[in-house]
Amino acid sequence: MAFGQAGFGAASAPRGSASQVTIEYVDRPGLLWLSIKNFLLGVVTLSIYRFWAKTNVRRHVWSSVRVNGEPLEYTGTGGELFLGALIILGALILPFVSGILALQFIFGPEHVLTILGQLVFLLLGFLLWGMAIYRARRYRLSRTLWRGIRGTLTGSSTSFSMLYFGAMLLRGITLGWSTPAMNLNIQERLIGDMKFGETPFRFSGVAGPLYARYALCWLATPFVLLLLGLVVFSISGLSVDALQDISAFDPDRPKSEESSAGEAAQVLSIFAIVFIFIIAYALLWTLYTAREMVLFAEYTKFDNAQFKLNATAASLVTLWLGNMFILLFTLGIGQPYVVQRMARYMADRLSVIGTVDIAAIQQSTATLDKRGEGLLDAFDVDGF
Amino acid sequence: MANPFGAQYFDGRTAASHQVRVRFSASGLLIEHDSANTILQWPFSGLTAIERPQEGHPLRLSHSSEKSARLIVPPGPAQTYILNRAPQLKASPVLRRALRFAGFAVGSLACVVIIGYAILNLAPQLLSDQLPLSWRERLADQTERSLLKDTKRCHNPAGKQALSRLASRVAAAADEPVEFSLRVYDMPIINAFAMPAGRVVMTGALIRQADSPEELAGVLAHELGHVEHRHPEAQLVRVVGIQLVLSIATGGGGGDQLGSLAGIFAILRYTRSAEEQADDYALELMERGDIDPKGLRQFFEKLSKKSGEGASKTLDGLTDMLSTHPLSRERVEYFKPMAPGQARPVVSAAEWQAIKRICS
Repeated sequence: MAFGQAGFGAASAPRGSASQVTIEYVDRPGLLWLSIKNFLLGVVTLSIYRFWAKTNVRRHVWSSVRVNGEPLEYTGTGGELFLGALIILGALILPFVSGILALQFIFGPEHVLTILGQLVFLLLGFLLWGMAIYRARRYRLSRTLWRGIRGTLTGSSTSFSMLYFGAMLLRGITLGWSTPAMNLNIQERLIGDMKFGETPFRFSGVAGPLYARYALCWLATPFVLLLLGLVVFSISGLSVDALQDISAFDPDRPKSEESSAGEAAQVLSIFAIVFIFIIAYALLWTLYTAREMVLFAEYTKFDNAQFKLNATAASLVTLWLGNMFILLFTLGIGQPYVVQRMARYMADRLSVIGTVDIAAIQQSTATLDKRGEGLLDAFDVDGF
Repeated sequence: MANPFGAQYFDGRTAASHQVRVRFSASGLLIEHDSANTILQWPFSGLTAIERPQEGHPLRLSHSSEKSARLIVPPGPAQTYILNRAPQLKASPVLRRALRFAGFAVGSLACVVIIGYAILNLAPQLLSDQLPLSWRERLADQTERSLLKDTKRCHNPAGKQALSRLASRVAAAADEPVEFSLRVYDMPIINAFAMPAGRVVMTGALIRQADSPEELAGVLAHELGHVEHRHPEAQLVRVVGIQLVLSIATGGGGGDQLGSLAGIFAILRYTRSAEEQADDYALELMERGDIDPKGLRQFFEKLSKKSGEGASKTLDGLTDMLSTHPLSRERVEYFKPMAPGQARPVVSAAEWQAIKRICS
């Protein structure tokens, strides 16, 4: 309610007062209780509480991120996420899953129609994957406020999903070599469509500088995996003879208890080996990921400022391994801490070089779901 | 109390920060803004806290009249006053929160139970009555394949003929004609079960251990009860429903777990009420057809004696008749022998001998 002659809008705001921008993560208490509460309610609601749980975590983590001392604010609700998921479920997943189940039921799992149905479902999933990413991002941005101003993503999620799908296909065709160029394209779209208030983010740059690191990782992959394989096999004592023994295994031979215990151990060690391989693969590729993150941040501009991200392969490895251990040892209950760690990583390492005319940032005029796209806008497809 | 006090204000139209002076009126806050010559009025009742208020931290407020505007009140007496005048800002007491948490937990558990009951009990039975015959036939094909794939069917011609005499004798007494077929598989477990589309299966072991045709007739009458009430169809619909719910609850697309259908089928049993329905049907059928229920009673008694001897503890015990047809004293008592002279023999002695040799 305003008294007086005029409301104090943009007209009265001081112009040209460009200022520095700092980002920091300030710890707030309450994450432990939040984790426990989310877990318990998740159990009694057969995991349906996950939408509200996600919202609780985002609220906590968002408000711990301070930009120029002022916290971010997450205004999304669990109900919105739930409704969005319900729509996806009713319009897409339920018809398809029950259709495939019915096909399996009537014709059997090996029938052509059943397999065809599953393929169509899979293809649709791939086609909609990009759309899901884009819409989830749009939802989160529109629910992220700083100083009362919200973010937006202004492009079309359909054309983005096409780009994303094309990038996936191309990656397969080029044996991965299109990845840096296509990742750049995707990032260009995601950042270029993004606004804070009415002020756009800009993204420009070329993928060339990524290729040296990409080539290194691509070429090193087979060597590293081979080397690791040799080390693992020599340590675990699985000689060639043992392998032959496994392949000559006779299913009709009566099993003694020791031999089945031995088999269990073998199965376990195979799992362990696969696990180690996956980790080694991921660790190797953080070399590339770190480079990409740094470069993409450099290519991102806002007003008169440019972003700088101090991401290194070593710090990413620490982050990811830490997250994995938290999830493994808390059986997923510690998931909020993973979100916190990732937000903290970005907030701690992201800096803004140059100045932003903060007072000139106008509130976003993009329609919120209330008037615009209806419930579709609310659908966040994390749990796709 | 500081009146007026200084605060930071964001108007929700630009990201500019405004230093404002705030005074208290009788019913709310008056926000004075020097440069804009404006006074905003925020009644206490419309205030909301952006974050839960914390001692020694700035209090971040918004107001229902201007949802994207933010007023940041520094720690101090003004903050305390606002919190007292607008009690909705304060976090609710721990006890209330704990109660709300418990209420929510219990409520959602109740919802899950109710929905689960609907999915497990009501819907399958209703749906199974609507399934067209061709679907039920296909269901039966699939179940028969997955349950009996490696088992030999018993084909002795004389035995089959005699058994079908027995079957038509049992079914003849039915109110409405029952569509069913009876097959014998040479399995070592003592069991009989109904599959969709009226396919009843008896095991060779069941026939070998039977001491009288009345025993087999009683078992068949019971299975016909399941057929008549479409219990097998409902059971399969139930399994699919459970899978669907699981895939929804976990957010993943289900579908390829159907390979384990046979296993689930064996694990799930008919409910007690389904068994009672089948028993009622069987008793009625036997009474009308002048078949002595003593046979079924003897059969049940033999089974429970066997399980008393610990036979059920073996692996066979997990798949035999008792595991899918739980027994109780009352259930055995339910089948009372007929008065002398009322019962007529089910099949001739020669036919009974043929039936006993059906798997040889």
